[in-house]
Amino acid sequence: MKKFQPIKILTIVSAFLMCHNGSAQIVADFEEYNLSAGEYLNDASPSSAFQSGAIELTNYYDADFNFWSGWAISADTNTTTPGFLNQFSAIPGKGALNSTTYSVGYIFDPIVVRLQPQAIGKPMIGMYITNSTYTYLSMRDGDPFAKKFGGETGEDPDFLFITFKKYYEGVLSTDSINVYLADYRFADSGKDYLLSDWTYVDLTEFGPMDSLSMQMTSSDNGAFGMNTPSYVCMDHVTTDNLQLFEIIADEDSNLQVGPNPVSDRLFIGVKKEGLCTAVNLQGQVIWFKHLNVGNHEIQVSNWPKGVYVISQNGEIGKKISVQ
Amino acid sequence: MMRFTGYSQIRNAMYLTGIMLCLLPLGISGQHDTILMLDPIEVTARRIKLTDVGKHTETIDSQILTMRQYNNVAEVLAFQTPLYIRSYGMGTLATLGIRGASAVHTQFLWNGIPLRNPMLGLLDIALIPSFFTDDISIHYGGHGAAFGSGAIGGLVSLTNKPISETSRMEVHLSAGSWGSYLGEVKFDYGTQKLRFSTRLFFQEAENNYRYRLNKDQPEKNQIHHHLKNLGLLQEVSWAINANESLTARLWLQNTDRQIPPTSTQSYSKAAQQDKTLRTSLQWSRNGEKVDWQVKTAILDEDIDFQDSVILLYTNNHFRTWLTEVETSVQLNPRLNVTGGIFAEYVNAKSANYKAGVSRNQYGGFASFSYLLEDWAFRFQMREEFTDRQWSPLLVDFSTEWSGIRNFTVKGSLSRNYRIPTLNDLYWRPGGNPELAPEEGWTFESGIHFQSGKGKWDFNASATGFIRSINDWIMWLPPGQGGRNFWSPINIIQVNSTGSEFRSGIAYMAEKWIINFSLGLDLTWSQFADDLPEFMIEEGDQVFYVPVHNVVSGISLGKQHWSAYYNHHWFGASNGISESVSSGNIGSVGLSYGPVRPSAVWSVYLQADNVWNTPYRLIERRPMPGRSIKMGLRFVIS
Repeated sequence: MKKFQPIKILTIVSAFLMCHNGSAQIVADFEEYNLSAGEYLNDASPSSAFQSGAIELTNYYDADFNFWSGWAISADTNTTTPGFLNQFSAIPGKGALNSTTYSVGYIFDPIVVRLQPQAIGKPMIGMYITNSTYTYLSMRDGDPFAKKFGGETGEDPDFLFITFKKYYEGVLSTDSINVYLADYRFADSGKDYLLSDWTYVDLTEFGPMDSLSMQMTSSDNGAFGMNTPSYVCMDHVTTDNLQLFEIIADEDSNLQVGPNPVSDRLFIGVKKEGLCTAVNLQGQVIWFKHLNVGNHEIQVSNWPKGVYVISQNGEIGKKISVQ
Repeated sequence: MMRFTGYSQIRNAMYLTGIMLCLLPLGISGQHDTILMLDPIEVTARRIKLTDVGKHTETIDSQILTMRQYNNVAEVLAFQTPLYIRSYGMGTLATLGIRGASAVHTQFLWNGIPLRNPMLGLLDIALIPSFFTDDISIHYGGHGAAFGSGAIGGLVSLTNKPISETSRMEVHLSAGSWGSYLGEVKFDYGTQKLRFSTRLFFQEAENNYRYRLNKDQPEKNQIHHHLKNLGLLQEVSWAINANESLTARLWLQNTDRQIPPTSTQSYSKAAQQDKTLRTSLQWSRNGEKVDWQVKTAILDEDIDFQDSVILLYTNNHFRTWLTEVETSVQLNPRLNVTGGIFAEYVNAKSANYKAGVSRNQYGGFASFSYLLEDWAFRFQMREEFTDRQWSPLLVDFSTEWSGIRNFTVKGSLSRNYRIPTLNDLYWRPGGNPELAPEEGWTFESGIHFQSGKGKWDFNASATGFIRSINDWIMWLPPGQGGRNFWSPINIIQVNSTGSEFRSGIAYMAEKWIINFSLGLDLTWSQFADDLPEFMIEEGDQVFYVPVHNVVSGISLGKQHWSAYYNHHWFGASNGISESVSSGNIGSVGLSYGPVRPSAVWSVYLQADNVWNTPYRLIERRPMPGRSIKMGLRFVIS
């Protein structure tokens, strides 16, 4: 295994990182809540927010009404039961990248993903989002309050999307990113889709921020607002993708990778069983696999050339360059 | 069939008179009350009539109710009046708002007993079998001073007539499209002093009706819409003496309804069971100058809802106990004073209440009526005390003038209110105990004309009204007003204006009877201010209130045959999610009913939505296409 080459890596990433002085990539994957499959957490008490990685997710819970809003943490796997009683599950039935836990947002108004104090003013790199089971099945089959997408004839140009905007220094940006959770506007209805898997949202273009605003927009609205259930599931929120090379160079870590640079076969040595991922500099996961203890070989020749961070179980990983 | 309504005194009438009795009610507007002629028997009925001084009223009597097959009161009102019934489909939830008000602003009385669901504040009139009532009268406008909270838009009175003095049996059997069957049996029996009346009805319908989404779409089949309805109405009347009577009534009903999917829903597995127990005891004493009435009632309803798809199972239950004492004194031939007190206790249970909730209400009312030669004046007032909160003083001043032959000019000014429902106050999450009652004023004025000459009979009326309701209660969506959940608030004023026109012409020749009728309602019911949280702008029309509603009917009768055609046109309205298009619905019927000494019988054939028009009354809830029913009625005395 080749030794890590700090000078080379720093050269490659410096253009992207600009003034960021060696902070770490932090992924909020909510696994620290240790939920078992089927469980959820909709009460952040005594806090008013869930925390994971470098983000905070606000939560409102009314014990008197047994009612929640904002964000919940979930490991629910129910992908078949429609209706609001199944409001905590993601339609893929698991978290992003085959993880167990994810977050569920109830977006009746714009809600925010706040950066924790140490991350404020730094960029949010990206996240995975998908439909909740409740929303997905409502759009697919309709419910007493919301239409099935396509409408009565199947030809209605329905849509559901999330608009991301950033808050920076207290100001909401005018720039936005729209991500469609469902889109029935295609002339060829065969292309109409409901998002049923986790999809990556690249937020790098926003640059530094204090928090991220998310708002849902649907084509199905009434006098009382949106008819489509306004839930979204979110996972693996990456708040920075820089690695301190001192950490990466740590030979005592549970993860050993090489050769570096690599063009064909990458060897990964794992001291502890778990989910291994490769993330590019935009925070996008381009490979993941559950690896047992031992040495493994993966083919990287079809990866785009660039720098990747190989990490395991969401822990700080190691950079490699694919050439 | 329309000739014979089941009363033995009609059986022996001349057949022409019989046909006339049947065909006249084909007029869509029913009969306008002759207000000054007061029924001396039923105090409750009289109070209902008295409150109509100066107001627009229509009556649909038992003649009309046996004219064709109606499954429920919702169908009667939709067919007979220009009222817009907010129906979710055949046999499913149907509510009535009058003069552009909401369904919670319509009060329903059953022999003077309010039938509203205190949790929702409204009544599902698809659950009221038309067979269980003999007369239906619609009393437009505010009646709060007479009947208290809720009677803002109008009042609908369902009345059972006194039990027939002779023993008799009445049977009605019907079958029709979409697997619909109906059976109704009524027995009147007993001694001269102790009379019994038993009514049983059974209704079942698959309701897998054909419908089209619009004219260009192929027909589809409605699914998951089965209905089963079973009921008993038992009445016992004891004539204690010439002036006193005691009447007990028991109404049992069990309704099992599948709830069909919307037009934008692939399927539904929802179903609801409504179990109803209504019982009342009423004592009346009619003196020479003083009348007394005491009545008490228990209303118990249990509503189970299941949806095996979304795994939702709920049970809501309420029980209302009420009692009222009323006396009426005729101080002199011109002046009548009526007064009374009442008490009501409501208890309700729901998983969405923290615990069972209850409400106590007490009140008193008084009315003064003064008759001059051509004038009638009535002043009413009422005060209610609900859970330690006083109502505003509800007042009503009404007058009529009949100084010109055949004409009556009416006018009325009333103050009305409505207390929040139990769900408004206690629903979890969102119930708002700080809600204030809605209140407002109604003014109406009208002119009525009635004349008969030779073979012709003509009636017409025109009524205009202005109404405002302040502190209208609406449920605010989450995210608005800093709330995280739906919650009701007092928001705004809603102003309504409109006019109601009714006319009827009847021609009675030697063998023919021809009747034509026309009714038109114009209603502007608008929000008085912008409501950005609801995407409502000032001047927007209230939901499900078409500006235009027209009903017209023509009927022909010759000897044993009679036929009718009825047409209902309603304008477009605002729905919650989509607008509701205008619609044209036609119904036609033919009946044959000879008179026999031993029995009265008739057969009929009726077709509804004969033009097979795609229409809806609530968005995404398609109504059925063309349907046919046939039936048989007979009465044995």
